[in-house]
Amino acid sequence: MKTINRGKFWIVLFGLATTALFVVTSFRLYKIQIIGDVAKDVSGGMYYRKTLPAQRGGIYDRNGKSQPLAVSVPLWKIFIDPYVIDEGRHGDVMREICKHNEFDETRVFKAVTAEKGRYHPIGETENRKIFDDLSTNAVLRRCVGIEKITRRNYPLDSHMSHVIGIVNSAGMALDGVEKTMNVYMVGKDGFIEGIANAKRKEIVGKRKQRVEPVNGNDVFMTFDRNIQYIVENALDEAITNYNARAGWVIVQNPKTGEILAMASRPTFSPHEYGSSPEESRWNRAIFTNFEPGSVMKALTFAAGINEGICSTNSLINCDPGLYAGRPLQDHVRGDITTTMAVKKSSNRAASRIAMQLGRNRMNDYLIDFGFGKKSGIDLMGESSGIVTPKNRWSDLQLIRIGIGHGIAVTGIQLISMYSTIANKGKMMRTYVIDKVVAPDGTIVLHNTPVILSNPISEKTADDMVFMLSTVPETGGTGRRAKIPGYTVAGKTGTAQMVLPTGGYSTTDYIGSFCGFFPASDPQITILVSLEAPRPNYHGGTVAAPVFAKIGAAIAQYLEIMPDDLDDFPVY
Amino acid sequence: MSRHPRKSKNKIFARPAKKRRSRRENRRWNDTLHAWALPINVSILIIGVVITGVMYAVIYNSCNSIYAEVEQEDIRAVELLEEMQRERAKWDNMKTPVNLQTRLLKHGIAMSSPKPGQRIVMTSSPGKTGVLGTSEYAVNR
Repeated sequence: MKTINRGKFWIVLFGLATTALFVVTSFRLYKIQIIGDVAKDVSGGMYYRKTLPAQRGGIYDRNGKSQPLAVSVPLWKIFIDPYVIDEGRHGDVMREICKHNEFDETRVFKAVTAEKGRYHPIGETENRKIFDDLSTNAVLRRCVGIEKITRRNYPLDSHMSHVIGIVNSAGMALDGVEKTMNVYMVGKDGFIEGIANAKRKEIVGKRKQRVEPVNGNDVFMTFDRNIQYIVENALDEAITNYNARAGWVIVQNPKTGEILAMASRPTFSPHEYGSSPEESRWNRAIFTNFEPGSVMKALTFAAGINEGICSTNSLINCDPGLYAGRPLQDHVRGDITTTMAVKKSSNRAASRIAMQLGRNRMNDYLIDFGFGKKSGIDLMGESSGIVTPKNRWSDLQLIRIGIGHGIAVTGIQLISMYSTIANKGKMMRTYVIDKVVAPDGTIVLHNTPVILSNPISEKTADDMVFMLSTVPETGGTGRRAKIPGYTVAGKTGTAQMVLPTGGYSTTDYIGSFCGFFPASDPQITILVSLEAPRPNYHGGTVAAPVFAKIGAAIAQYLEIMPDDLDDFPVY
Repeated sequence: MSRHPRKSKNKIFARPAKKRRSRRENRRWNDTLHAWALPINVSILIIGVVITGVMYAVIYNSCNSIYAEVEQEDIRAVELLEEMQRERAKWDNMKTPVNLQTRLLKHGIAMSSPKPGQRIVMTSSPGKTGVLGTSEYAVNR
C-alpha cells in the first residue's frame, strides 16, 4: 500500500487551504462586485440610508427670478444640551457662547439653565464656522450641537404677506400661495442607500444606490412687487392720515383678470407669524364681507341701461318722496340725467332703477357679476359675500341692494365688476398664479385669461365708462381720484359698518373708491377701501386720493400713455 | 516482526518503520532536495489568482480613495451651492423696493416721479395733438 510522507501532508493541506481561501474570496468579490446584490448584505445595523432633502420651490413675481417673493435658504441651527454641562460650569458655558455676537443672551441663558429637555436651540446661523469654533472649545465641546435646517426667506417681509402666506419651521405651509400651491412646490427627497461601517458611516465603495432629490416647482405670480410696493406705501400712508382701523387695496388688469397687487392692513411679518394677532393675518381684500355702499350703484345703472330702462341722457326724477314706503335721503333733487345721477351718486335715481328692474332681473345681474359666490381666486380664505335669496327680498331690500346696502360683498368681487365694465362687458377669471415651472424649465401649469361671462353688452359697458368718467370731474363725488394726464372712471362709496350684534354703527364707516384708467383704453383697475376712518369717512375724501396716488405711480411705472393731455405741455 | 511497537491500521498514514541509515545514506539524503512540487498548471493558477487578487486590492483601494474624494467634492459643491443661495437671499433682501428706498434716503437721495408739469408729450407730427407714438413721452427737466 502506498503511503504519504507526513511532511508532504502538511504541504498538501496548506495548498488546499490557500486555494479554498482564494476560491471563497473570489466568490465573495464576484458576488459583491459583479452581482452587486448588496441588499442581502444590508441587514441589521449595517444598513445605511441618508436622505437628501429636496428644496421647496420658490415664489416669484411676474418679472421672473430676479424678483423673489419667497425662497428657501439653508441654515445651521445651533442647540445646547444642558444635561451634560458640569455642575458649576454654566457661567463658563454662557460666557464662551456669548463671545459670538450672533446669539441672543437671554435665549442662551434660558437654554443653558434649562432643567428639562436636552435640545434647546440658541440660534440660527449661516456660518458653520461658528459651530466649529464652539465645538473645539474645551468647555463647550460636549454640550453644543448643530443641525442643518432650511428657512423660508421672505424678502418683502410684511408686504404681501397675506398673499404669499407662510411655511413654518417644520416645513408645513400654513397660509396663502404657500398653501394653495404647496402640492407643486414640495419636492421629492432623494436618498443614499448602502452599508455602514462600525462607526455608522457609509462605506462609500459599497453604496447600493443614490437617488438624487427632485426640487419643487417654482411658482410665478401675476403680481408685480414694484406695484405692490406702491400700493403698500399708499395704504400705510392712508391708514395713518385718515386714522383708519383697517384697509385694503387691489390692483387688477381688467383685460386679463390678473391681479397685479393686493394689500391689506393690519398686516404681519411672516418671520413673526406665531406672535402676530389673528386679525392681522386676515387678507381683508378677499376675506372681509362688507356693505359696499354707492360703489354698488354701478351695477344698478349698468343693469338699467342693459335692460333698456334708462340711457345716459334719460331723465330720472329724484324728488323727495316715499320709496318702498319709506323716505330716502339724497342730496339731489328734481329731474336729472342718468349720467348726472352717477356723477352725483344719487340714491333716489338708483332706487328707481332698482325698482324698475325688479327682484328677478336684479338678482340675475348680481349672479352674473359674481356676487354671492367665491371668485375662485387661487388664495386662501376667500369669502363668498352675502346675497340673501331673492324670494326673501322686500321692496325695501331691493332698493337697498340697488344703492349698495343689504348686501355684503368682498373686495375681489367689487373690483371684478368694475373690471368687467372696463373690459367692454366681458368678465374675466381673476387669478394670481401666472405659471408653475419645474426645475428643468418645463411649464407645469400656465394660467391664461378666461372669459367667465358677459353680464352686460359692449354698448352698455361703453356707456358706463362714459358715465363713470364724470365722477372724478368737477362736481362729481370722486374729484380727488383724478390722475393728472389720464381720464379716470370710477365710483365712490360710503357705507355704515354692520355691528356684530346687529344693526349699523353710527360712527364707523367703510369708505371706498373703485375705478379704472385711462378711460379711453382701461389698463388698470384699482379698489381702495378704508375701514373706520376718522374723522372723515366718505369714500370720495379718504379712498379717492389713495386711488389717485396709486394710479399716478402705476401709470408712471408701467409707462401708460396719457389720454388727457390738459395737464401736459404738448410740443 | 516489526520493530515499531505501534502498528496503525491506517495504511496511508502509517508511520514508516524507522530504519537506521548509514552515514553515506544520510549524506546523500541531506544533499538531495526534498520538496513536493505542485503541478505546473496549478502553480500558474495560484500565481494568477494571487496576482489578480493583489491587483484587484490595489485598484479597489485606489477607486475607493477616488470615490471618497469625489464624495468630498460633492459635499463641497453642495456647501458652495448653499452658500450661493444664502448670498443670493441676502442680495434679494437688499434690493427690495423698501430697502432700496431706505438706502437711497440714507445717502440723501430722495427720488420722486416727475410731476405732470415736468413731463412733455411730443406728438408724432408738429402741431397735431392727441396722437401719440411710441416713446413720445419725455421728461422736462
